[in-house]
Amino acid sequence: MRTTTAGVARAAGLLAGPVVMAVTVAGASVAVASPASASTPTAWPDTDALSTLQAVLIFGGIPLALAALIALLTIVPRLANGPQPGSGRAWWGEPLWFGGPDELGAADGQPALEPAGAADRSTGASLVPAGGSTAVAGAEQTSVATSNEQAGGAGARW
Amino acid sequence: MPAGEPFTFDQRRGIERARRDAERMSELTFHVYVGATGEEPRSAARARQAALPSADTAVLVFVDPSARALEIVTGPGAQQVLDDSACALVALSMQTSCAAGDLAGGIIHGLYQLGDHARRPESLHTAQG
Repeated sequence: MRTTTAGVARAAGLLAGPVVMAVTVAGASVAVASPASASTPTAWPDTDALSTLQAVLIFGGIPLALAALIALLTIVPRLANGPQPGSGRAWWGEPLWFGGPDELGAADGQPALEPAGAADRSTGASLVPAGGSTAVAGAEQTSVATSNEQAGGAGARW
Repeated sequence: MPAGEPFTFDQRRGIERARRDAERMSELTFHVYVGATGEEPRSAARARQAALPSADTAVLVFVDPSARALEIVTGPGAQQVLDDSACALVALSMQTSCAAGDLAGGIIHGLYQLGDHARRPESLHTAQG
């Protein structure tokens, strides 16, 4: 442990000299430096200055045109292929039920469907019975039967 | 996928599994209807939900791809554990998937989210499972 500490201290001491010198040299060169004084080479041809309109066209118009071209290249094949299956519009299948009214009888024994079975049996305990054996449950049941306005939920379009 | 089949076998199995898992998580029954009805989606979905056995605790996820519409309908009993704001949240996330063309993925994730929102509270102080 002690040897490690001593080694680290010696290494730091050895490094300190060059580091301090490098920092000093860099600082001095920044302080002494004069502003750049290069001018346009005389051999270059003398051209007219670019007008604002030309500048806008070159630096704005060309990138925009390129972006539009790339966007077109990606969109056109998709438009040409028509709507993708499953993305709407073209629904060619029969209506599909998962857990639909027909399957419920066959799915007995599934633990997941036990609550539904309990409700169906109309024992009139905790869940609202279909027959409406108690006054409160009966009232609830009629309101459900007459209108399903009570049904909640949410919807969305895409 | 074979012609005339809107979902692959895996997608169907995924939806069915999500439906069962959602039912296991909650005390509700979950049903999924996918198809074109030609009617106004909300009323069509409500009519189908009302026709379900045990409609009181049933939750219907209704998707009409040709009308680009999805509806989540909860019976009065189901609404007590799965309120409308939770349904709206799920509908929003399903809408995103459907708009991207992933109908099955939207339905599957929607079912899991619905089941999670309707999760029955675990009673830690009683012995019954």
